[in-house]
Amino acid sequence: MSFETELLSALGTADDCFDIKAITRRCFFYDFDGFPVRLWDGQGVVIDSDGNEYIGTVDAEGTNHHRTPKVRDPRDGTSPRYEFGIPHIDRATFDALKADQSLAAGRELTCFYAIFLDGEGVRPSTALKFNYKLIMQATRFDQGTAISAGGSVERTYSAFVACRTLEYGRSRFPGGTYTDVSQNARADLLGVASDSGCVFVAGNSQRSYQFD
Amino acid sequence: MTYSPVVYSWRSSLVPLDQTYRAGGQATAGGLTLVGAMISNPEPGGRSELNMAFSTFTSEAQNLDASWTISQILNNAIIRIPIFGYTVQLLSSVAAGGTATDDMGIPWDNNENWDNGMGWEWNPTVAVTATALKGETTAIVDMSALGEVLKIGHVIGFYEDGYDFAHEVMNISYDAGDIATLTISPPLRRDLTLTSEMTFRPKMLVTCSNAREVGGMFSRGRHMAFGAARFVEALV
Repeated sequence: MSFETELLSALGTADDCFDIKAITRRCFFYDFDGFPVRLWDGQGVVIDSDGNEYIGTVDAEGTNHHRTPKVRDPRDGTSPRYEFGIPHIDRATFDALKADQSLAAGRELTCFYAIFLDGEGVRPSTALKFNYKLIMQATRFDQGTAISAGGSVERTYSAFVACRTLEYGRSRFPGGTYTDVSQNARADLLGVASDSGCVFVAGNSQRSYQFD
Repeated sequence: MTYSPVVYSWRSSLVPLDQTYRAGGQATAGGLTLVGAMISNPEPGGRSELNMAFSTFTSEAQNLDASWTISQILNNAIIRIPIFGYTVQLLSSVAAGGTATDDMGIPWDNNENWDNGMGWEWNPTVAVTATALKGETTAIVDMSALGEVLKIGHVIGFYEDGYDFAHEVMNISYDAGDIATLTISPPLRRDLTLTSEMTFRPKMLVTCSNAREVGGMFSRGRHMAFGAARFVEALV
């Protein structure tokens, strides 16, 4: 069944609206050129219905090491910059990522939802549900020292990618932004005197929508 | 790039007084029912944990092992710890097809100067009769040689890819030929093949989550005591 069907059945019927037992988690797909990386908000390896493996970024103490900013609805015309990354990786991976940082530019980062049904373990049979897609633009690498929980000093290596939504660069093109004026101009090109749908644009402007 | 950590073996002289294996993760779907019974929404998969408590170490060899161990677990080293056969969580040695003393080790004596007087490790196994993919929570094994002795609450294990994994039996059913279908938690960490074997004396790979509190002070009289230790499954 589809994600929506499973989610609706997990949320229960109208008779028992409190009977909510859906278990969903986010999965992230970093489509680096030739080196796809898949991570998810949990522990252990998740295998999706296509056989792709997602590595869990939650450690034994329940801390999620994967930094994932809240993504906003871009319909207000902004194109915010998001920085995703992992603050603790080993030296060999750090060096390999740093050598290949050109593979990130212009590539896509996709977020999916996975739904876990009773008894499925970490092998969900339901296909993942698309959540949002961003474009990776730049990478940032850090290395430093930190005091560990045990009190000893340890070396840390971190890697981040900076992303923008697909609306990035839109304002550089004529009529690229979705405004009342540009939409009417676009309608005019098609021989339509006025696009009455444009009145909704003003209603969506200056607002921010938060997605998790 | 795959990072392969070094796995250290638990020093066999540091035998805990008490030991409890607990399987975390998904056993039931959580939720809030209409009449108000709340079941926690579990982590899919999750990790298992192992709690151990110790009596005071008395011999010099034990205290030296404790000294080494405390430094290793403070560095978050991955340790391979056996689930000891003297707790009720493991199938008893008699039920697993051995004798009552098998958990003490299979005795041997060759009078060589490297003989340390310890027995060979006893490892009763049964065959896996159906393949299973990692991430799944079901394993099918042939219990016909032992009968229907394995029950819910027992801890079993697998050895795959050079790593040890321990799982708790959350549900079990037997068919007429005593082929058992097990529901286990946490989920399988590696694929099971028809050449896999399930052991009744599992080991697990862990890191210590409270190493600061475990280490005691070495006292005059050359002894020390560990505090209660909590180990969490290391996912490798």
